Amino acid sequence: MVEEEDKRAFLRDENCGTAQTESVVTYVEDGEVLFRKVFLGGGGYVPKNVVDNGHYQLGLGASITSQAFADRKAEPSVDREQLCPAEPKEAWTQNGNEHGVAYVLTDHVRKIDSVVLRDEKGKVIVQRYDVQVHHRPVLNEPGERDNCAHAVVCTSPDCVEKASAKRKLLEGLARIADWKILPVDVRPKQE
Amino acid sequence: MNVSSLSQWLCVDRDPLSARRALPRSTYRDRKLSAHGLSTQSAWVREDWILWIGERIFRFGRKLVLQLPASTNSQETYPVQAPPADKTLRDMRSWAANWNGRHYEAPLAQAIENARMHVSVFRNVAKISTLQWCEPHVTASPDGEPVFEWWCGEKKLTIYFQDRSAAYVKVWGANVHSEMEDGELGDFFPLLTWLTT
Repeated sequence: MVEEEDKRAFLRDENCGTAQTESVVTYVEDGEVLFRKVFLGGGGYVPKNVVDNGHYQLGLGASITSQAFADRKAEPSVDREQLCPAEPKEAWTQNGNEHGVAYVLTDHVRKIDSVVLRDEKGKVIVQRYDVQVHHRPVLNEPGERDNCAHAVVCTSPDCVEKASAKRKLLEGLARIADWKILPVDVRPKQE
Repeated sequence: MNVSSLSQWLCVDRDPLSARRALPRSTYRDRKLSAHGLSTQSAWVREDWILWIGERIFRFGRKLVLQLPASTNSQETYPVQAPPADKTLRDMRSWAANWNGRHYEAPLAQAIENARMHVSVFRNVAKISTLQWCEPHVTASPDGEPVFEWWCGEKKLTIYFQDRSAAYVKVWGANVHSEMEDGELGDFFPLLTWLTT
């Protein structure tokens, strides 16, 4: 227990990566919240109308699109909430007031489970792509911010070459995600 | 009147096709709305504005307001009318690599052209079949494929465009086994029927 607390305290250090020579990787528990940055105007959301107490307001709120979790390597990056070295936690992922932050629960991500493919004739090929969440701290990477909370959603085997599997994974993630912070262009105005 | 009552009024009094034409006279519209307790005093202008009411789409004239009576702690959401897909596809031609800060490839020119041709086909299918049509949300994938997305209640349709082909994904839940289906895009009519009915 003490060793685990030491590890977590070490990872939360704001200077993590500059004072250490090796990263500490821990298992991402099922109950953890994972944050995903949604760039302003980046195609990861579409505005919605909201009727709030009978007053119709346009363009407030947003739906999360499948491209919110898209990644060139089919391994969308997320941040583990409990390791984010900021207050509030989501501000670490947001990294800029104009962007949004979506979140998913780790056990929901793992329950996306296998992705089934079809061959060219439409016949189902039972191909398992187990969806997992792996902790991958970013430390001392050129051009990248040190990020001890960094994790990736990936499949085993990887599905980067399988467009069908990639797309279904994105749809599943978008379906289970919700907003922590809306992008600035769809936020309700502060009174 | 609450939103669902308004929806019922729209369904009963106007069919989707006629609703797409602009109402001929504002007095007619004002009288109709006033009869249902809706105010038009705080109108504002937005051309080609399409209102989603539940799963039905109705286009009103250029000036429309909905000052709905207050309901108790209710929140309902409806998609905003997206800009015309053609416009976004034209803009997409100028998107460079890393256009969204995630190191995506620049959208492929041939794929954009493929998407543009399909938009016309999609609109014609909707027009001929009298099914509901709304502009898709248009963006691009990390591999430079134009992506169209439509939402209708719990259903969602996504189409990816490559140079000479396209692929669709139907989504009606989070389960990738039983609540998603994908394949190569062929006839758009069955997809639109599934989405809007």
